[in-house]
Amino acid sequence: MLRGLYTAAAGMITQQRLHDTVTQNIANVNTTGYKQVNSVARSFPEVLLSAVGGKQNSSAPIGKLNTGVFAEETLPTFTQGDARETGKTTDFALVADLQLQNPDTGENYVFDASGKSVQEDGSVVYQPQAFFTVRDAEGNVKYTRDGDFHVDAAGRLLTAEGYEVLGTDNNPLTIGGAVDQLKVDNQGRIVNSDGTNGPQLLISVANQPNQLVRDGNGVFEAADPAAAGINPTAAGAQLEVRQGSLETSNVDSAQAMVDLMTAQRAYEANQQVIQYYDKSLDKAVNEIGRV
Amino acid sequence: MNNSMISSMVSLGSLQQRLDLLADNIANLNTNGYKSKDASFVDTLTRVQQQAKDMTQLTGRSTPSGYNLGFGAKMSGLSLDFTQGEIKDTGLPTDLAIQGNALFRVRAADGSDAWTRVGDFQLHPDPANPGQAALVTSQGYSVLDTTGQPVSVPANSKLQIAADGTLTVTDATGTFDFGQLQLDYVNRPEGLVELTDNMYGLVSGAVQGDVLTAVDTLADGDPRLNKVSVRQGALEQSNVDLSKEMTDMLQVQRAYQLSARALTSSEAMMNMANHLRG
Repeated sequence: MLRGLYTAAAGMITQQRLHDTVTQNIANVNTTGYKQVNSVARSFPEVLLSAVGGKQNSSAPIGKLNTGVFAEETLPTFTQGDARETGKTTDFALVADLQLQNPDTGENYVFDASGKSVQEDGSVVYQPQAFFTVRDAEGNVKYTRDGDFHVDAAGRLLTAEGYEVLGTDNNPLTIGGAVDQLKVDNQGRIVNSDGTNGPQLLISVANQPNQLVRDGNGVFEAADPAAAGINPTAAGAQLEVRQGSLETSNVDSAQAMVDLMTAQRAYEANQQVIQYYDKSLDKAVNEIGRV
Repeated sequence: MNNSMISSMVSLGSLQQRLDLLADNIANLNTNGYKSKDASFVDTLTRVQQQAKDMTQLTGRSTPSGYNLGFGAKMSGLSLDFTQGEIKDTGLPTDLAIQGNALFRVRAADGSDAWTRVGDFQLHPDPANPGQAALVTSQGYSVLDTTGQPVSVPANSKLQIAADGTLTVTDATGTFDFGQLQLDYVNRPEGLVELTDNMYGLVSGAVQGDVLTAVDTLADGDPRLNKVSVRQGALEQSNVDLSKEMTDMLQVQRAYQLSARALTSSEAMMNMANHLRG
């Protein structure tokens, strides 16, 4: 069989996946706190080609060839979305630019716009990210950037999806007084009506944000909290809770449109390659040997 | 159907819902006491596609195993925006506008309490007490006073309502005090649900004392106390902000186009797959 036929088919499937990911981003272009995902493709492991049937019995190597590609992972981009003012007392935007110290040099890593820092040895360090901590009905802890909270009739602070928002004592927060009188300072601390400090929103920091798995309903889940490096915020961390604002989606619609077209055309190119292979096969099967 | 098609279809559906909501708001631009509605959106349930075992943790990979796929965005909740609408003078003594976050208490058709923000009240002859006139909403529901009784005043008298809702009636024989209109401060707007005829009721299971607090029972020094007042001879307009609604509509329209474009594109890809064989 011609090797390239399956390579092209793998290319089509991969481009379909890429297209799916971009569509998901486009669908969430207006979703509060949504973080864009990018599909990462990887070539199949290389195989060594050898010439067979030469003069000597030992086969002579020709070279290496990749026989396809697959969509390996969806990498979220945790860049800060814009904070949009809503004026509602139960809307919160998390604005964070967390720093991480390099244990070898003692200096902070310098992160680029996409939130990563590439070291001299080629390893990549990702910027820690901050999240609101919420809990679903089954008691599972989840993380979200979507601060579109609500206070229900019983006073519980909930996400739009009904997850309880946790405080620094790991218990769900309840709002005592009137919702329109709610005051929260820039560290997420509820300020009581007499000016004293009330409970505080638990802001969790993920040192390995890529270890968080998107769970739908606007939240992320840490399948392995240790691997994700989840900690409560350290004092003095560079983050701010903005009451009366919401973080918009960080999807770049122009980029998404270009990615969409690219995926479609690359899919088309692979489809054409399959057709060319088909023509070659046609010749091999039907024309060679015709009298 | 492929994943792109599902994602774009789901998001087209939810964008349509958002547009319906905006249309509802814009339609009520001139409805007295109308409170605009707002929708929240979240991404929908995600599926993690498992990969072949030897492909799960290759070097250089930075996320946990599996390939994460989502299915668009959905509307997750609706909320009422209780911000103050503009107050317009009408000069009619039975038109009342509330300044601040409170509601009038009225009696619904089934005898239970309901709340309204619309103060275009009228005086109707009271069938129970000839010679008296009952204060009712424009749909005919009785307005309640602080004792929980429907407000009833002598017919053909002059009605005066103070900022705290106190009723004073002047007729040929003199000036009399006629109680106080019941005003309830809205602590938790999400505990209210829209009923017919511009009224709100409590959501099922909600405790009235949690959701609302009677303004006349607020202690001195409570910050909520000075924030509520009634203005006679005026009506509160809708709090719909047309420029915001139009901006949102533009945004929805563009997002719709973008999703429709993604749908066209995945349709084209499906077509290509169908035409692989010539």
